[in-house]
Amino acid sequence: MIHLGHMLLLSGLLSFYFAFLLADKRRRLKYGFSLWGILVAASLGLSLLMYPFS
Amino acid sequence: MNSEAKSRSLDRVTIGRGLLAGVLAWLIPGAGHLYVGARQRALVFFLIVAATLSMGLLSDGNLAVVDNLRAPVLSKLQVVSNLAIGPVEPLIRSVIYGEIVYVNSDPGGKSLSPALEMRKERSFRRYSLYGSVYLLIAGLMNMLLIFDAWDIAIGRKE
Repeated sequence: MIHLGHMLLLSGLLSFYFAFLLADKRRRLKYGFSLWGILVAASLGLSLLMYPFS
Repeated sequence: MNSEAKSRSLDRVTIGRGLLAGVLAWLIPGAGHLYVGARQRALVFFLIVAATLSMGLLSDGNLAVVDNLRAPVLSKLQVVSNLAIGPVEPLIRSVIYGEIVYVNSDPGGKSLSPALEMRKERSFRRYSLYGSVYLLIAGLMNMLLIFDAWDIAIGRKE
């Protein structure tokens, strides 16, 4: 659970960091939330794929 | 003044502005953006880097030291990443280890200095690994901010 919490927090920080770094003013929030969702989904997907090897 | 000389002096001014923005960005995360007039971004970047750094410290993260035996290249890159946090990095290092230590003088670990003993002890704490990652990422974030502030200051980016 702690691991999941850190993953959510760190991916959120990184998503909004890159949103403010790369996206234009009007699209920042959309960019940030989209990137956050993609990072979390990709991490969960990868962890499920790796589950049989754990 | 002819046009060539004028453009050369302008270039010098632009480069000076870029360097100042970069140095300010290193001194305080977001200060480079504040200098070039991006106030909102400056505040957001400061808060994000400060939050990442704080999470690293609250999770008992370790700052990297050069380990010439086990990871000569990677450990140096990690130290560079930590240093990108700014002048606060050596201060944090001295507070958590009792002295400013950058090199593991005894990679075998048989007679570690008190600072390196402290670092080793921290590495066994429950969330230390998470914390070390936060600290590395805070430095990498600020490194990109330095380049971004430079780009805005020289007019390569808005």
